[in-house]
Amino acid sequence: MNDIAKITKSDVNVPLPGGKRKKNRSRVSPSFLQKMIAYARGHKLFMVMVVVPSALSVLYFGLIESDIYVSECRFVVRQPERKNLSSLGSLLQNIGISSVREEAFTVREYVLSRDALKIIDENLNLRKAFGSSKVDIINRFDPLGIDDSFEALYKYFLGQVTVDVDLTSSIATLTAKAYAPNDAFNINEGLLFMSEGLINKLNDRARKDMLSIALKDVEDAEAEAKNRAMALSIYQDKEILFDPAQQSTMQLQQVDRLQTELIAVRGQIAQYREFAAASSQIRALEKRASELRKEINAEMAKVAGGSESMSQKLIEYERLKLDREFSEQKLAAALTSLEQARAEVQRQQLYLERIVMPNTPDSAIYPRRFLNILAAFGMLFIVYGVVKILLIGVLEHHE
Amino acid sequence: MPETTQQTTFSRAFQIQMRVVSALLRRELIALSGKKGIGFLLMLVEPLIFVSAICVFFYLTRRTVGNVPVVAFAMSGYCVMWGCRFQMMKMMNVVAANRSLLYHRYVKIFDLMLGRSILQICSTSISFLMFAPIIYIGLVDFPVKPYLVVFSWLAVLWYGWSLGLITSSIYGLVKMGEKICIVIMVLHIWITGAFMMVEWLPPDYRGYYLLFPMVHATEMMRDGLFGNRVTAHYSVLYMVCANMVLTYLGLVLVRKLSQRGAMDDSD
Repeated sequence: MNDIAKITKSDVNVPLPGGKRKKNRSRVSPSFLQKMIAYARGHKLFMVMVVVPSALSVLYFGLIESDIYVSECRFVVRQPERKNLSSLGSLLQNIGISSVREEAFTVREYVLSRDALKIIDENLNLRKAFGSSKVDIINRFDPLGIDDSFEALYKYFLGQVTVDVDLTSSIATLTAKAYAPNDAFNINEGLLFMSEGLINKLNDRARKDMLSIALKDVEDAEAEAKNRAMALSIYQDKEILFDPAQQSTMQLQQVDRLQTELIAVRGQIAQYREFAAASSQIRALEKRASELRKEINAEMAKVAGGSESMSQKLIEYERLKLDREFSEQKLAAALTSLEQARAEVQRQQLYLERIVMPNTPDSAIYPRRFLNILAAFGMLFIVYGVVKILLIGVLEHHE
Repeated sequence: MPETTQQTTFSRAFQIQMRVVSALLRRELIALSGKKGIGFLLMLVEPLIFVSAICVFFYLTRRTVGNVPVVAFAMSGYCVMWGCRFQMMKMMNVVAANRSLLYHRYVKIFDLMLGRSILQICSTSISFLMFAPIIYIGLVDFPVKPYLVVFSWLAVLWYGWSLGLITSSIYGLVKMGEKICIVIMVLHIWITGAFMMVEWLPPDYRGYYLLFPMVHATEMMRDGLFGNRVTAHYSVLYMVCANMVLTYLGLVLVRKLSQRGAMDDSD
């Protein structure tokens, strides 16, 4: 301001605050109030542009403006598999394209969405919290009662809630501002809780998507294995056979025994023929031998050849058994892939971890009253200076 | 300086100033087109050539930045950058070049600067209007919030004007003035936010970057152009306040220069 004062005095006779001292020295008598009024008359521009707005700003920032309470929490969205890709270096390498920390950004977008606001508003009645008459008229939601639509509330809400995601640590900071400590805490806690819900929902959907195919495979394999096993047992039941291989072994042993006997009988017959050709025993033995031969043939037919033989049954039996084994292997494979899918889901599971819980503020950190007043003073002086210099610049063009 | 005559009213003085400025403006135009046949035209399209060359370069190298068409991204950044820098560049030597005019009683240093800056505002705004044909041929979608684009452009012009006042005063006041001005101008390649968005920076460093007022203007313009496709960080209040402070600084420096000029004359 000194500069302007100097310029003014040298160039044009526009009264400025700097000129005050001289007047005071020359005239001593008038009262303080009179002096003030005289001063105001002499410096209309200064009064209008600086003094009055300054007084208003002191009034507003110092007395009227409501306390703002801030509740803050920090959280991180984690995924076990994902690596930390982001540092400033890699960020600058592929400017803007890298979409790291997308999960945290998902949460941010959700928190700052109409969906989230709707639920929060239903539970906390934000219109009442932000629009109550305790809140000063400039900060209040819908101060004139003109527009209390949801869109207006949403716009207001975006000014009250911020989510910042740190790209290097991927820690998100959620802050909520309100005019009462409990409101700030409730909004913050509510949003955080809903964010957790969102993450769980995303996980559920991912799990469902990823597991549904594997689960279906397992179901199919299971049904097939059951069918095969059933078919085999039905066949066994029908043909009255338990284990064809073992059964045929038994039968072959029978044949073996019969054959041994047959050989013995034949030996006897030969002996009789040699030494007692007229013996009646020969006939009896021959009869026995033919019986045995018949028996052997019958037994052999059961094991092999003929439509009812064991080997015939074995063909069908082996086919069914093979089917069953295949279906069992298929089921085992399906179960393994299901297990793998489960593990995959587990690895891609998102976690929202609360690092710092939402706090209930015990004192208002905003507004910064003194700083605001100071800033208003500064700006008013600057604006005044600009206007003043421009005016002086114009007035220099005298005739 | 002649003695002050108090009879002149404010409106009369204002009339005189406007007359002086418009005469200066006409003089500049004639001087430009007189020198080289198409000088005036060249001056008007000079920033335009810069911006379109850059656009073509970016268009050929990369198609998108993030999810934003690169031409629009480059346009928004470079328009802001050249909007600031051209005013500084052209206003720098305005006093030195027109020193002889100051012998006229009515012509003041501030008038010289005003005339030159009005011309510059016109020429840079024409390059800014390049957006129109680009939008028309479909390289860039119509701005989501056109008013933000316009406001940010006005803020850029204001900022450039303030910086022009500052640099031209420094040029006249300080011996090393020219060097200082060049440093300031080179600095403005980086502090206007032409090449990147604040969102790409880690949150801890965003605050420092946002100290530069033109970063706000660039962000605001991109918010206007792309809407929800980008996350813009800016504060209109900060930008306006910073511009105000710079304007004040510039005007004070101009006063200093006028006084100095007066002293030089008397010597």
